[in-house]
Amino acid sequence: MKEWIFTTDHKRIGILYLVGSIAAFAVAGIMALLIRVELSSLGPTLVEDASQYNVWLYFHGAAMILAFLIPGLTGFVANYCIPLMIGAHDVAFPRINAFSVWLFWFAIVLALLTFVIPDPPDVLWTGYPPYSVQTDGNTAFYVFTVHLLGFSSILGAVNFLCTVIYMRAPGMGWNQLNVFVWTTLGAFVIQLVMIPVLASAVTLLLFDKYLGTTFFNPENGGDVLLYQNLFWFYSHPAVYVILLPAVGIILEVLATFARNPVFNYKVTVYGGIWGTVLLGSDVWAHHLYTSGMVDWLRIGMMVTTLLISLPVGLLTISLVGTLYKGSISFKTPMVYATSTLFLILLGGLTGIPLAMTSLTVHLAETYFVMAHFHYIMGITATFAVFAGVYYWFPLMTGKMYNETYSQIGFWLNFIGVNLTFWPLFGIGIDGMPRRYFDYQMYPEFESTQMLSTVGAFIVAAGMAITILTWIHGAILGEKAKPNPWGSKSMEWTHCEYPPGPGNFPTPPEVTAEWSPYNYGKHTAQSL
Amino acid sequence: MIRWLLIIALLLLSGVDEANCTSLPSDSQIDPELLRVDDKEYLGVKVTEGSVFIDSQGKEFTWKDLGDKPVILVLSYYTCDGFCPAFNTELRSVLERVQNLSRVKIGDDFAVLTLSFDGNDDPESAGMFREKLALPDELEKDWKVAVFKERDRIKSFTNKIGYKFFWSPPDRMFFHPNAFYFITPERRVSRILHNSLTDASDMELAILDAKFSRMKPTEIVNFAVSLCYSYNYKEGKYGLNYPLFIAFGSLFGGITAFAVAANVSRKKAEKLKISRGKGEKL
Amino acid sequence: MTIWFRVVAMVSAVALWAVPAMAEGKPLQDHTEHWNTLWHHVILDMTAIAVVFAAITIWFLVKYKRTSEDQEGDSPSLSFGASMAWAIIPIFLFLADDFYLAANGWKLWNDQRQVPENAMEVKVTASMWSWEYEYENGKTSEDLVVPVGAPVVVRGSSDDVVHGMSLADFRIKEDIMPGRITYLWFYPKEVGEHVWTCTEYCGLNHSDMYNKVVVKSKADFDSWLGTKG
Ligand SMILES: [Cu+2]
Ligand SMILES: [Cu+2]
Repeated sequence: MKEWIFTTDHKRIGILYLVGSIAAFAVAGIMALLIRVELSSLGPTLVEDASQYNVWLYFHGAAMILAFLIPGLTGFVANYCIPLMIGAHDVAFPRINAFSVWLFWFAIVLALLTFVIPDPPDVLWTGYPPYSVQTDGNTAFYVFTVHLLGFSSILGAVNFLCTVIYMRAPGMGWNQLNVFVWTTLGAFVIQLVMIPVLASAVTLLLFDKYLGTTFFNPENGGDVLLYQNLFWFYSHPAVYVILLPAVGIILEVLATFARNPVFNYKVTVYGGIWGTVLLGSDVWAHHLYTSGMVDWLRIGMMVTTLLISLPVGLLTISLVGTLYKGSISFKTPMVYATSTLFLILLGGLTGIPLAMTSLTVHLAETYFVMAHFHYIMGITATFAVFAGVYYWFPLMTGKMYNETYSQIGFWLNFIGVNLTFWPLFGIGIDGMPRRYFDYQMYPEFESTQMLSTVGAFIVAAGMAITILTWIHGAILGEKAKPNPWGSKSMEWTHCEYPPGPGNFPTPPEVTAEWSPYNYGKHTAQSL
Repeated sequence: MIRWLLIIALLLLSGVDEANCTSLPSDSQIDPELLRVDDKEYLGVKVTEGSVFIDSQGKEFTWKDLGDKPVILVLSYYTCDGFCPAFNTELRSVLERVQNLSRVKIGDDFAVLTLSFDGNDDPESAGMFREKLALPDELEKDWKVAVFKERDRIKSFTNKIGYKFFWSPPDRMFFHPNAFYFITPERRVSRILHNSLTDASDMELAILDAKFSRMKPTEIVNFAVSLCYSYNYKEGKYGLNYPLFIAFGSLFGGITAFAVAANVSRKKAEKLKISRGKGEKL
Repeated sequence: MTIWFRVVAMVSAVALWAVPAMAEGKPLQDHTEHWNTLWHHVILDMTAIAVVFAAITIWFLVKYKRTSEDQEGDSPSLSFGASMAWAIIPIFLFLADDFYLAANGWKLWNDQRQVPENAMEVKVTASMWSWEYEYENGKTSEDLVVPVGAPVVVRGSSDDVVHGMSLADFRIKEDIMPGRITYLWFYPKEVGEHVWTCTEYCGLNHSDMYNKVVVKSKADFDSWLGTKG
């Protein structure tokens, strides 16, 4: 116990991130079920009025994004894999790394306090003023949770950027890095530059609410829209903080299970990944298409938002291209990864009308938007995390999960999410607004809502089975053979199973031909 | 680190502001608050409906003839020998200062319309009033002093924009609000400034506000300027939009944090003699 | 090289067509219809891309299934030219599509934001958790009652927090907040009833903050407007 709490080993820290974020995922998932049950029939179903329900909405959104997806991808996977992938014995600042995971755990505890304090926060994960300032809910808990997670992320970002820049194995050039390492670098650059803006915006909320300042109060010279701009200035790029590492994991898994290098490596890295980072910071106002902002700014951001299709298109081509002439085996990590190819397609393409200001003027704040971002951000990224957990499971535990149950879990999840969210596109186009406790004005949507609730319970069953396969595998699983997938990446080829302290028995050095994708006749030069 | 930067910034900022409240010259016995236009009630109101005006040279014109730019509207009456001339003269001197700041130019960026709410005024009294204003050449061309063509339209016009006035027989004068209306190119009220001591930068910002929706890409500086300030309804003037500066400060803080850490880490890496490999070239 | 010519020709054709489309912008009487048409185009566009990508993916997944345990992948190495082509050609294709979408989106946006000269003005005030509509003659109402066949512009601000004005049937919405004036306009074509909802989260009764939009015949509307309410 003690060696886990006070550990500075990046692998254990990674696993601590995994456990914490899966805990957040579970609780936030239960909130989702409560929300779905409440909506399954017209009128109050579970609770009398929206006061409880609004807290579920807050917790579901805030915890899924801030405490599950971001720490799951940039905390767990990055921590566990990056030093192993670049041949480093640990990260640049191991003790700071330990401090970040502590901050993360404190934040989880703080977030969970939502359920015991009187007047819990009910400000959604966006915390728009003036509501967040006027509400009786405890906005402070929201703000402090953001602070802790933000600070933890900034420390992580500095740590990993320094690690990758200075601690790569001798001989390892930039074009020999795993694509996942690149996506994480991109994500951390966004985190480092943008999080301080979010942190200061929510801090000003805190001052407005508890110290009587008027930063966002128009009566006294504040500006309501400025908060929204500052919030999305970080929170839109945060989508790429989630999406990029998710794509990174998927590419790793596709490469390993198709036994092919990542398609068009350099274009993927310098065009796809860094293009997304650059463009992704200039499109935040698409969240403000109906905000009442000046007209030409809203139409201007339509152009930048549409341009995001270029780097994301390159990434998609790379995902599909990696399969070309491959040798594909459908183990659990691979079925999750291939399923995301379809999820990204669905989620990404439904983003096209949402990039267009004039179409969004109707679609904004409806179930259409909600279904869209659940596909592209929620489900795709969650499936990527799951693909990652299964993929590195033999490495982390030295044991094997149960293939059959894992596949059953996958199919329940996959069918469940589509049953939950497909129908919601439809009623969204017909006008069903998001964040509603009830829908008396649209009684005809009741059956669709019910269908979606059924889907949510199928997902719940799938998730339960999935998590059980991990627990079962970690404790009772068969011993895994070394490098069971036949990967060429350094974490599989140069480590012990599971890797011990210091990671590598002998510090690895690589030749100029080496690459994590040396499949077939490929070398680093032929990528 | 970021939080501390913030706290320091806030402490610095907390020293500013407070001063400058609205003050009207005290030549009126009426509570000036009664004559204040309730601006929030009337922002966004459309002013065009059926208004034809006659300027001091007897020429008819409408809102359309004022061009596709914001208009500063001042309601006055021309037989007034106290406040109205003073108020218009005040506007003249503020606008002279605005001209000197040279961010917005009369004629290019806005026009001025002084309009009589007194049915007894005619182009002649308008002309005399305008003469007394002694407009300098630069303001002369785009500042119209005018009367309504149809007097019975006056009341509905002033009601629509919330301008309340009444004749006081004992004083033999009108009591009326002292307000500058800023009218957008779409001819809607975008701002009402009450302060008779309006300073040039408030005037300028209100003009920028009125043309905000029409700004061209070349006016990027004006756009940025108007983003940096926001309107304070309680004090009736513009103030710095602090959160914007705090956000920029934090953005800078994040980048600095990385620069510092990268430096520390480089030294550390060198000290540990971790070889950095030869594949450094991109 | 010919492929380059084709790509350049295609992009410039789209651009040539798009630029005048952007410059145009005469107010149309009914942006709702326009929305539905554009939506249709975009759905087709999305479907086409989805089918292409999904078909290729499925084809690869079936065709390149592993046949023996130690089989490796056999993907070709890309020459410099090929790898650039795989970047630049898709970029031009996506760019052309983006141009097309942007030009059309822009046109619709002009319709949505340019209020027709003859639009009837209604002032709206939002507060937790109700709407109040005020007509030019001072009449106030809790439902939005409008005459058929004439554009209506609804304009106002909020007394407390941010709310959202939404008219799903007319494909239009706009937030409403303290300190700023916002507006939306629509064109009620037929007599009937529609729903007006609040679409920006505003607390406890957010989902109860809805009312009817009643479209009446001109005569019915005039008599309704005349009575004090
Ligand atoms: Cu976004
Ligand atoms: Cu609401």
